[in-house]
Amino acid sequence: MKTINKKEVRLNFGKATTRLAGNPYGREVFEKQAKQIIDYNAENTVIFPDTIEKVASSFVQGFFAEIIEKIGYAKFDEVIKIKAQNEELENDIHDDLLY
Amino acid sequence: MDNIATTIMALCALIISIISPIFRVYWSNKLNRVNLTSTYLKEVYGKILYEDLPVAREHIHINNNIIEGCDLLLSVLRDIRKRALYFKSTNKVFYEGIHREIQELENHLFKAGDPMTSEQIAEFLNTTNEYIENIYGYMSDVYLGKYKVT
Repeated sequence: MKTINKKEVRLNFGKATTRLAGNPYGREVFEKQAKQIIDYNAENTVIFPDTIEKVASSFVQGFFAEIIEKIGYAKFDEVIKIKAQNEELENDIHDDLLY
Repeated sequence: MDNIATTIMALCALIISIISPIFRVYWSNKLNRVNLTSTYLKEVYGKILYEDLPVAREHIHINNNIIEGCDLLLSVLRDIRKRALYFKSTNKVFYEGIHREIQELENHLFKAGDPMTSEQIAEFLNTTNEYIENIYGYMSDVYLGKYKVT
């Protein structure tokens, strides 16, 4: 039975931060908080804190840009799982990658 | 002298008779591509532009110096982005332009939710209206064929 290596990327923002927007900011957060942890041969769960209520598509596309460049959309769901405040937000973040 | 003039005129007529159908085919094809894009735009975005977007804009309101009601507009903008995917392959110029306009408005709407002064609220609402006008303007320009059709 193949063992799946699992990693967690817990994102941190200021306590007062409830919304995330901006492509450059997304890239910056990826560089500082996720890039060194992500293992493209493992299953990585990116966890947005519960204080985050909304995430703009610009942030999503900036944050996940390098991941998409490396593995493409087809392998994305295999390598990255998204956890957020609620299922609706998780789905929105996932869909915003595509468009 | 008359012979030379007649020859020149005959040559010009010949050249025009060759070039003219080539031009007609070229412009006809170009017009067809513009018409096709216009047709698709109308099909894809018609109801969103004349109903959903204005209704969503009307949902924005002020409550104790906090701007609320942006969620419906954000949802409509997501819908516009999703429908633009068709144009990613057929008209990349349009796709990139509308994508940029939408994301700029989304980023702007994300500023709502915190208390603002009256001046900030007025500026926020004016800027929101400008962004929406930009989107309508961009769609009109593409509909009228002002952007290169790929």
